[in-house]
Order: sequence, then structure tokens, then C-alpha cells
Amino acid sequence: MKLGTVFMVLGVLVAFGSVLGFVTTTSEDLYLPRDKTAVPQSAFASSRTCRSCHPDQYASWYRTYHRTMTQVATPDAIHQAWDGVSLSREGRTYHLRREGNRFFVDMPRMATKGEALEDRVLLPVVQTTGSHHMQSYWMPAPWLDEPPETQGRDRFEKHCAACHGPGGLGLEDGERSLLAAGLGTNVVQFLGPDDETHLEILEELGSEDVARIVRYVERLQFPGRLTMFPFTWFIREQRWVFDGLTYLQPGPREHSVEPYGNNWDDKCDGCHATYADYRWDGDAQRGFSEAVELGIACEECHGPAARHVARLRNPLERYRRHLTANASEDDIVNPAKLSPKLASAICAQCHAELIDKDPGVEAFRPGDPIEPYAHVLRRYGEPPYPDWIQEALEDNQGLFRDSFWPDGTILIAGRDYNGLVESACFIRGKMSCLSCHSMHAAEPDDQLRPEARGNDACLSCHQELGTDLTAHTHHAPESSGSQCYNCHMPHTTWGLLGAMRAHRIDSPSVAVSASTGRPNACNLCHLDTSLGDASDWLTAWYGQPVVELTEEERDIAASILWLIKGNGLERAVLAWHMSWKPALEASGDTWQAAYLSQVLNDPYPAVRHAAGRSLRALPGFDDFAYDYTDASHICDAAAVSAKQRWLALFPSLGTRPSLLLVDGAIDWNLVAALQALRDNSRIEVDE
Amino acid sequence: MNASPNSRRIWLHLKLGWVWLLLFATLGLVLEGLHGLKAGFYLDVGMETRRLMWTLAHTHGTLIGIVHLAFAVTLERIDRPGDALGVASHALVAAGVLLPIGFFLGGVVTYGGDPGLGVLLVPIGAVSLIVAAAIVVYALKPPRDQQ
Repeated sequence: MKLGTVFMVLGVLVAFGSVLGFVTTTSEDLYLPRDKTAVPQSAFASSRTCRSCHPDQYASWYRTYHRTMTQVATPDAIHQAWDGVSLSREGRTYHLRREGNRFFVDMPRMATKGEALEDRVLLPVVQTTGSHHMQSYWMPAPWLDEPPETQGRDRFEKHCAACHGPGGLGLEDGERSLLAAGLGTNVVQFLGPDDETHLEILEELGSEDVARIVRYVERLQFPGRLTMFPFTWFIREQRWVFDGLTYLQPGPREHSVEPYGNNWDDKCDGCHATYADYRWDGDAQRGFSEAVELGIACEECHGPAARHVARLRNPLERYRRHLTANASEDDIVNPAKLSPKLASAICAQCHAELIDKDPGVEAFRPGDPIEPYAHVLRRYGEPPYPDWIQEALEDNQGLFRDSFWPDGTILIAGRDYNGLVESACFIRGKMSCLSCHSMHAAEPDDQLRPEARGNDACLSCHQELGTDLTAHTHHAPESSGSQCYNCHMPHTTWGLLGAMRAHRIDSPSVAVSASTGRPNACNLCHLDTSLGDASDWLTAWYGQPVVELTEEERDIAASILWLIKGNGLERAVLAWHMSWKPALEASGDTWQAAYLSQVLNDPYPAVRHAAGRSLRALPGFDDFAYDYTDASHICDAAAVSAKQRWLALFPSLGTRPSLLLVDGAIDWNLVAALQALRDNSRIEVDE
Repeated sequence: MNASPNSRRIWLHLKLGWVWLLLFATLGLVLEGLHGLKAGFYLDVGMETRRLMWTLAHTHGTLIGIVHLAFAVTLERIDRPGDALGVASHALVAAGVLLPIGFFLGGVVTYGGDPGLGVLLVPIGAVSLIVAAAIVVYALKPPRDQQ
């Protein structure tokens, strides 16, 4: 073959490769977090590398929702219909478009209603978060490639740089950097009429200058960042929901920078990707998201693996280890071989409510205790508080209220470590997250080990109770009342529009319910019984002290009191339990609809959602038309309609005083009186 | 055929070839059967290495059987005695044993993505096969008087 022919063939190959590369790199790829494994001397290897030596573990992890927690926005990640879907909220309309394998949103520009054509922008969807219960979508901030506002920059340097550093990059120690977490977002919220921090500057500057500074800082902060599409795909119900209506709080959560949702780099990336970061490139005047991998991958639990991989590329070293099983000099962590405390700390990185120390939890590596990096939040009693709590409370006065039941039990779902550390099983050092959960030997739904699905999870330690279960539970051995979880881990945490099991493993206590409002397991299952009934059982069976109760607590079913006059969280938890199968088996299913109808127009969207969901699970209501996201007057009408349907369906349920039923009729006057006493104190579960 | 100076070797390789084909085609059938029965110890996601090793044992064993037959035919065509061809014969027999058996044993015990120690037989077998092939290539060179 002549040399010229060789060059010609090579040229064709290079050209083909270039075209292929061009075709396979979409503009969305430019916005994705940079791959941290691609930089020289990276400490990370990625799951792609782990796979070649650990195919079994890779395969079991691959099935998990941890892997798919965050994914590139492709048809593999987005399963629902997209193209042609239109969504509306607060006068803003969003049109979803799809071109081949690429997804787009035609939506209003920031701070506009998007009515005029120039107020609309077409943004690519870059990545998704969530694949189990809900899915959110991330888009690049629309002004990604626009230069900073020069006049705004001049004014910023003149009026703001003294505190925030030149270019907003902070003072020498990084203090007050606008790009640091906490100060790097939602600048539009600041410099408004209610901003007391900047009062002097606001007085000094005219509104035009303030607007220029805001525009400058917006551009300074947002380039390279991903913002959340304000609607969420609710997988369980196969429907779109405005993101602000998926939280437990009164009314919808509004986004600080409408119509854009949360900012990926400020709060979300840490637990929804592996070792994610945001890095500001001062020279380029733009920032970059970074991550080892999207989703929660191997190194999040096993630690950075590059050294491990480099050392074990040598086959002799690998076989030495295979044959001697000597892992003492390993560079990587096997959580199963750690102490319960250290193994649980790995999960606590994300499954805990933490307050960062210095360094923050980003610096945590598997095998470390969590305490050097973060305080594990606990509810403290009366002040004086430790300094770190005091500071946290100054930032968020509702911190305790929105995170814990008054007895100190965490109320946010998914922050299970905070519950675990309050449990005797953990405190005694025997139990860890891995006692029941496994990333490699469990079904993805809840990552529960097969042997931990039933009572064996507890009986492996508490063997003495297994020999005569009924003697301990006072319920038939095969009944739901003899399932350890149901009494010791009731569904009293809230998240993703549902109640989930508490991970503070304790015993039912009427005293706690009466004094703090945290529902106990007895009354969450026996919905038709009062606190007084439960107290009598617990005294007779377990010798618990007699609890002093009000007449109401002694006579009326606790579920009704919590649902009608409890706070937002209590109402949501009870509304959810009114379709919980064990509770319906224990309490019947004919009367709950009457009371659920009373909360279909609740001010808390989460309560309305739980009530609607439970209602449709009850006999005669499976076709009941109700949407918790509807306007309040429609929900009011639904409440009336549900009540009327119940009256028609069950005209004579006899007399059951605890359910306020006398001769088949509910004492609606008493219900209204209870409703008037509803605890309207604000609660916002910060999921 | 009796007239050939290599007749004993020819018979040996013909026999080995057909026996290897019988053995390793049967192994292929067994592996297909494991697929049919969805045998966990062969098909589970963590058994990737075993599946690869046993598949390689089947293919190498079958191909070595064919190589034995080709070698027998080659010996007949060369039709002249020689120590070098004897070495090639021994090397081919060794390769025929070491390659498929090494792969098979490598799949019996595995360490995640690494095969068992039996796989160490494979490179020895591979070298033997290369030696045998090289000798045959050399032996196929026409005698000087025919060049």
C-alpha cells in the first residue's frame, strides 16, 4: 500500500471520528457537572472502574434508586410523556418539548409571566433527580453565556466589595463570598424593601443602581449553575405537580427566584450526586458544577478509590489479596466491616439533619466518625443552648419545630440517623443502619435485607421474645399487632407526600402523645380508640404509669382529635393512616371518610393530598373526583360533596361514642367545635 | 497413509482432534443447557467471570480440536520426518490440554472480576500453541532445491 493511500485512509478515519464526536456531544453536555475523575491526580475512580473487578456488587448497586437519584436527562431517565405537555401555575405557562432524545422547556424568563414572546426562553433539560417517588428536572440558568453587567459591576465594586470582596468573591478568608453556600443564592430576595441587613446601602442608592447591582450579582452567581424546573413528576401518581405543593407547609412553597426552583449547587448536589461541588473560575467569570458521578455511587460509601484501583491494577497484588484475604492495608472502606457507629456515619452524610462544623460534611470520608465534620441536630430543651444551636436558631427560628416532634423525635423522613441515635439499640452499640438495610443484598424499594423484612430483624437480638410472641405483644402472633415495626417504628416521619417509619426505635407511650402530640403506635392502628383506651392497655400489659388525660382525650378517638384539631403535621400523619391497611383491618373502614371530608380543604396541601389519597382507598370513594392542587373553593366543594356521599353510603353505623357516632349520626356540632380549636401554628417540614 | 513417515503422529492428532471436538462441543451443549435452565451459578450477574471463562474453555477446546485435525492433514502433506515437527506435535498436545482446561478451571473459583488460579495454565498453553504454529510455518518452507 502506498504511503499516500495510508494517509488518505487515516484522514477519512479522523474525519469520521470528528463527525461522530460532534454528533454525540450535545449542548446539554456542556451544562452537566464536570467529571471529577477526569482531572489529573483525581482521588476518584467512578463506578465504571469498580465494575471490572466487582461485577456482582456493581450489578446489585445498579438496580438501586441511589444510582438513579440523579441522571442525565435522556429517555432512559424520563419515562413519561413530555412533548406537547403544557403546565400552568400562577399565570405562567410552561410548554414541554422533545426533539429526538433531547428534552426542552419553553418557559417564562425570570421575574416575568412569560406572556410576551421576548419574555420566554427555551431551556434544555440537563439532568433529572429522583426516580422512585418523584422526579425533578434541572436546567441551566438562562443567562449562562451572557457577560456580567458592567455598570452593575462598577456599582458593586463601589458599594459592596468592602464586605463581599472584589467581584463578590469574598474577603481574604472567603467570608461573605457571594458564591459560598448560603450567600450564593436568591440575591433577588435581598436588596428588597424588607432587607434590614442592607438598609444603609439601600438608602444611599437609587432603585436603578440597586437593580443594576442585582443584575450583576445574578449573572455573577448563576452562570454554570443549574436551576430546578418548578414542576415535579409525581411517579407514584403519574402526574405533574407544582414543586411547591409537594412539601408539608401551609400553602404552596414559593420559589425565591420565580419562576425558577431550587439551585442545584447550593443545597441539592451534596446528597443527590457523588462528591459534588461548585467551583468558581475567576478568570472565566463563571462557575462550574462538578461531581464524581451523578447519583449516589460506589465511592460515596466506600471512599475515594483511585489509589485502591491503581494498586490493584497489578494482578500479583490482586491475587495476593484474594488468596490471603488481607485487607488491612486497603485504601478503601468496606462499611460492613466497620463498627456500627462508623458504618452508620456513612449513611448519616445524607440521611441526617446535620449542622456543618468546619470542615463541613463535604470533607467527610467513609470510615470517619461524623462528629468532626458536623453536629447531629437534636432538639434541646430550654436555653441556654450550645453556641452552634444558638447560631442555627438565629438562622432559622423554626428549626426545632420543623425538624422534631416536641419529644425530640425527628419528624423529617429520610433523616433516619437522627432517630437512630436516640434509640437504645444504637446507643448500646449493637445496631447500625446495616443491621436492616443493604445496598447490595436488598430490594431497591427500601433497601431492606430480606431477613429484616419481618420480626427476625429484632428477634435476632431479642430472642427471648420470639418464643412466645403473644405474651409480649398481646396480639395474635400472625397479626399486624405482632409485627415489631408496627409498634416500635410507627409512621411518624413525613416526606415526599407520605408518612414513613420513624427510626427512633421506642415503645408506644400515651404519656408522650398527650404531652407532645406525637401519635403513638396503638392509636395509629386502632384509629377508633381513644388515648384513654391505649393508656389502659399499656398500663395493664406493660405496667406503664396511668396517664392523666382530659375528658376529651379519654373519650374521643385520638385519630379524630389529631386529624381535626392537631397541627399540620399531626393532621397529615393521621390522614395518611386512614388508608393504612393494618389500621383499616383493626378499625373498620366505614367511618373514616366522614372525618377525611373535613380536611379536604385543609390549608396544608400535604394534608389535602393525604386525605384525598386515603379517601379514594375507602369503600364507595374509589371514583371520588378530587385534586388537592385545585383552588380553595373547589376543595371546599369537594369537602361538602365527600361528606354528603358518606352520609348517603353509611346512614346507620349505630352508636360508637369514641367516633362521635350516636344512633348512626355524627355529632357535627362537636366536630365543628373541635375544628375551631385546630392548632394553626405554622409548621414547615424541611425535606 | 501407512507410507507416511509421520503416520503415528497423524493418527494421534486425528484422534485427539475428534476427541477434543466431541468433548468441547459437548461442553458447549452443557453451557447451552445451563442457559436453558437459567442456572444461577452460571448466569447470575455476579457470575460474569465464570461465564466468560467457561465460554472461552468451550471455544478454545473446540478450535484446538480443529487445529489438531488441520495439523494431521498438514503432517501428511509435508510427508517428511523431522524432530521439529515432533516438537510441534508435543506443543500442540500441551496447548490442547492447557488452554481449555486453564479457562475451565479459571471459572470454577472466581474472585469478583478475576478468574481462579487455574487461568495461569492459559498463557503456558498459548505459548505452546504459538510455538507449534511457528514450527509448522517453518516446516512448510519449500526445500532449497524447490526454491
